Amino acid sequence: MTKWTFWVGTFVAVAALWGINYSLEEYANPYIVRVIINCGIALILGLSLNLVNGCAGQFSLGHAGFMGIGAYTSILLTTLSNIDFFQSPMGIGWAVVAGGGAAALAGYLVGLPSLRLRGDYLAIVTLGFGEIIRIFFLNMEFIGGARGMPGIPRESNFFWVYLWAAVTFIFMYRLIRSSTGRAILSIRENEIAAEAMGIDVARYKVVAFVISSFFAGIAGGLFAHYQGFIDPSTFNFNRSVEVVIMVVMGGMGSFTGAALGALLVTLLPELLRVFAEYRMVIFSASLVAVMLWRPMGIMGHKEIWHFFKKKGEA
Amino acid sequence: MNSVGHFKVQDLSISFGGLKAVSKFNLELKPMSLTGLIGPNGAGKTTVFNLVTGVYPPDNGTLDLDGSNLNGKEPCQIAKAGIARTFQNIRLCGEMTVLENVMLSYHMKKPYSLLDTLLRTPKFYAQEKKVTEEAMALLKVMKLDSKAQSLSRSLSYGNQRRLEIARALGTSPRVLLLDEPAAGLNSQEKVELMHTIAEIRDKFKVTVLLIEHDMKLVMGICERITVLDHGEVIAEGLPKEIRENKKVIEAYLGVSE
Amino acid sequence: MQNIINGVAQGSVYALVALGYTMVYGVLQFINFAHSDIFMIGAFVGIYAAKWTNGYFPPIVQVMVVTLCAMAFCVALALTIERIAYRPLRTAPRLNVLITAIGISLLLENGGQVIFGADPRQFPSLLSTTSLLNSDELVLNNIQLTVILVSALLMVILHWVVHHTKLGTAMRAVSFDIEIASLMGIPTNQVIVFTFAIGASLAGCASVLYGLSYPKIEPLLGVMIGLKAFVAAVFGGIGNIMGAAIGGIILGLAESFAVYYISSSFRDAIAFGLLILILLFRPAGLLGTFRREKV
Repeated sequence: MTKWTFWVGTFVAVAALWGINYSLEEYANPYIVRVIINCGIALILGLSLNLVNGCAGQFSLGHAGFMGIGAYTSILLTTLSNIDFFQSPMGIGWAVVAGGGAAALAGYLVGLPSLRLRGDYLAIVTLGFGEIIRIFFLNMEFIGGARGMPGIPRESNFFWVYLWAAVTFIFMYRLIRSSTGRAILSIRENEIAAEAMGIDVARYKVVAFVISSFFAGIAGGLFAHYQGFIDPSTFNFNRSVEVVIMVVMGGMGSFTGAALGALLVTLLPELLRVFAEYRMVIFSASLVAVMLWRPMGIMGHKEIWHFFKKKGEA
Repeated sequence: MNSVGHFKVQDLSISFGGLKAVSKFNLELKPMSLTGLIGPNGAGKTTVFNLVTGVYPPDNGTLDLDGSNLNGKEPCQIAKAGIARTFQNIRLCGEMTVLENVMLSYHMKKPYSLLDTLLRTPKFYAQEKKVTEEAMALLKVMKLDSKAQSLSRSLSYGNQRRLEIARALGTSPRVLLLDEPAAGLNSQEKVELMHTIAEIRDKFKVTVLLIEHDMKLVMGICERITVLDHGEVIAEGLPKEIRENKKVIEAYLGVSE
Repeated sequence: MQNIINGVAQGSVYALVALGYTMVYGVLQFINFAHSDIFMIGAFVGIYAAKWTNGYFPPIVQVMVVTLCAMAFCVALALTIERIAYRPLRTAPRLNVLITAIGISLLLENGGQVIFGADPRQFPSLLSTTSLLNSDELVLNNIQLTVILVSALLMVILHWVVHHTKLGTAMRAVSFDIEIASLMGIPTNQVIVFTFAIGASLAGCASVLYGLSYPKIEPLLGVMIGLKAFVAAVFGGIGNIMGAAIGGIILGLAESFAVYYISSSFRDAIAFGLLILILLFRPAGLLGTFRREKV
């Protein structure tokens, strides 16, 4: 691919996003738009957690906490501060990035000590951190406490959410198909062998964790500025579990799988609305069913295009 | 005369809950030498490897590679310093391809930065190509080049052992530690493997220390042999001397009354 | 002093639930996320059982009958879950089992909301509260005393079962190494079934004790209690029965002191704060031992 085609491709993609965004805002049913945007946010969350849970094989159960940090940091700038810059659409974009940065920093602080722990223990510590973050928000009155924070400028839309989803996907895909990516995968495959081949396992666990937290923070910022209102219960343990389900259902370590999982987890409850109160029951039962009959997730380790290649080629 | 790969181990000891697994282990490997480490089951051979590569921190002892001290280093730092190993119970990255397994060991040379990775700069492509070629060359030496794109878990047992060696060589080691590379092979494969090991030593100018059960094999290719029993060195010397050593015979066959 | 009584009473409930986690973890090395929801179901069974038995028995007997009903139902439920969802995954990667457990937990919570309704229900006051001690600084009522005594009794029985019976020996063997245990002729599946049954019966009993002291029962009741009981299990050293008991009591005490001296709103953070501290400084828990991976 030459540079020329790359830039044209990027331009066309961005223009297409813009066009879809415009037509959605003008013509589509608000409910449909809401579902589409929730899918986009779920995509960012699922893709980012896949790096830690799927690729590095470290079981994190606190993704909602990092999402919350991103959300609250960004609204701190746009809604609570009096800086004019952050009231402008441009400034809100940067506030979301700052939210990602804060989440990444938190990811570093949490990851550094806790990634020494293995398996279930890591899951419990990340769970604990997620809950502590939520309880912290719950008790901070200046960001709304338990009542939540209304009046957030509603600036994120289809365009921004899917632009970030695309950035996340390309980032993750390029990262994992590189030397660093092989280092991260080797942690999941065999930690001791990875160490013996000169991979600083502790370091790359933290790297994966920080990157993952960054995008979770971005998702949080986008979410806050789409909803216009957030409260701490948005970022509870169930949200973390939901993201884990996306990754596991889709296929651990597969980015297209994580994307598929994100869409399923967001769309299934919507599609099951006809079953009214039974929808969450059906949803959780289908999760158990996937685990029992397809333990590697829907995609396994493979990406979607591997299924279209001939045997022997893959 | 090649002078890198001079490895000295002094007074290495470790005990696990009162049991002295290795005590006062001494070993000197001259550059480009090929040494065998033998001993009955449970003598502490693999433990020596784990101590030398930093998997277990030793209670005591010093490790010295070409004049630099390796004490208290993490396994990955020891790998960077130039000591590579294989594992007795094969430890490959099963869901990665054969080629990727070898390319993994080039990572510590930092071929390109994270920014290069994300922007897919020309440097990224150039380095990736170079690493792929070098890894393929290693696979060729181990006769695995035709399997480069298969998942490593799909390889046969013998090939998995060969892949472990290829991967260890990818780190450009000064000292190569092979933990029972011939285990599970048939006798013809064993002989072939031993020839390959000797070739590797000459081609890559690397010091080799290998653990092996089969006395005959070790006697065939090793220049010096160290015998370990109950965590202690009971003999050290030329293969000929070892063969006639009374203590060694006793350790292997038991004491005759 | 009052804090100590409140803490121990609350901690006993945590400890009973924690035992279920720790025993399953000890044997199968996985976190049975559904355990907390079995506890929740037990509380609801308690409500119904209390309604049906009303008037037939004197209060003390009625409490016993209700407790037995809750325990029996919990055991049946746990065994069904084990048979359908966990046993087929015995050789699957641990992550899958964990996710399945989370799935079952969600299933029970959402199923509970459908069956029992999402609104809190009142647990009937089977025993009228009478103060045994009532001075200015100290209040101890009969329910708190019952909770503490029953929990202590159950733990003593459990300790005896694990350390002095054939079944207990088998359980310890399975937790040490499931494959070798099965080679030695131990019927591992039966032992696992027993482990689940014991854990669930403790949860059933704990749920009634909980209902007596905090009569607000709702389908999401298990979530927080489950997390905290789990924290208690990890705190004491997961897989260790004494550890779970001690962990539960310590957690109950820490919470009751935190509410008194700091603020009730940080009560839930205490558990997780403790958890993180212990895992960072003593990853195996207070009484646990750490297994080293063999290279």
